[in-house]
Amino acid sequence: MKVERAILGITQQELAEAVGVSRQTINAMEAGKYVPSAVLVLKIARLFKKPVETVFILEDGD
Amino acid sequence: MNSNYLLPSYFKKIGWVMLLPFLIGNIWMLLSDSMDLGFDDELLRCTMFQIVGASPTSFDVDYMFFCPTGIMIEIMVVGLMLSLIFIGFSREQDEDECIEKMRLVSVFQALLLSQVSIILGTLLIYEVSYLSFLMVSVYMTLLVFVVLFNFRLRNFRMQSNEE
Repeated sequence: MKVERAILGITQQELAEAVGVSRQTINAMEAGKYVPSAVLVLKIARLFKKPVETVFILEDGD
Repeated sequence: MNSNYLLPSYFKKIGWVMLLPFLIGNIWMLLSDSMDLGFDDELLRCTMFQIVGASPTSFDVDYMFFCPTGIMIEIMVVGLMLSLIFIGFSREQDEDECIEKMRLVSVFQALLLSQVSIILGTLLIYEVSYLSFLMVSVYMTLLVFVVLFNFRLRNFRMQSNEE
């Protein structure tokens, strides 16, 4: 997600405002400390214009 | 995220303002059970409607009646519970799904911790002290929830600001 955000050239704050959450939540997601809801995942994928699976991946143990 | 069950955010400030006097009042009330600190339920009297209680005219249990009674304990307990509800269940300025999840996890942990402590208290505390323990049990879940949620929220914001 961090990479996709860098490609788009937007800050955490800008991404947070675009999808309607706080900057802290975006930060926690990028740090792997928070697993977002399906709605938020879809919003972010739509903003990046990428399929969900290219932005978010299942990790071992998920 | 649609957290429609939450109070407007200004209730949190009202809750914090109310918390200190009512917390001190409750500690005063609880300590008065074992020490002479001058707390008395009869400090304030009022005619109250009672659903069930000892009849004012006989020793029997009566239902649905008005009776003059001391109300200091009621004011202290209800005041503390309202202040905790205002703090714990009002919307944060930056409320979103992450904060909502923290709130739900805190509610679950508070419920679990308080129920375990009530079980332990029931097994380990007896006689008059048990009544004081029951008084604390009334708002223990709320109190533990507010502590856990605010601790979690503070850590979340601090960590995010450091990175």
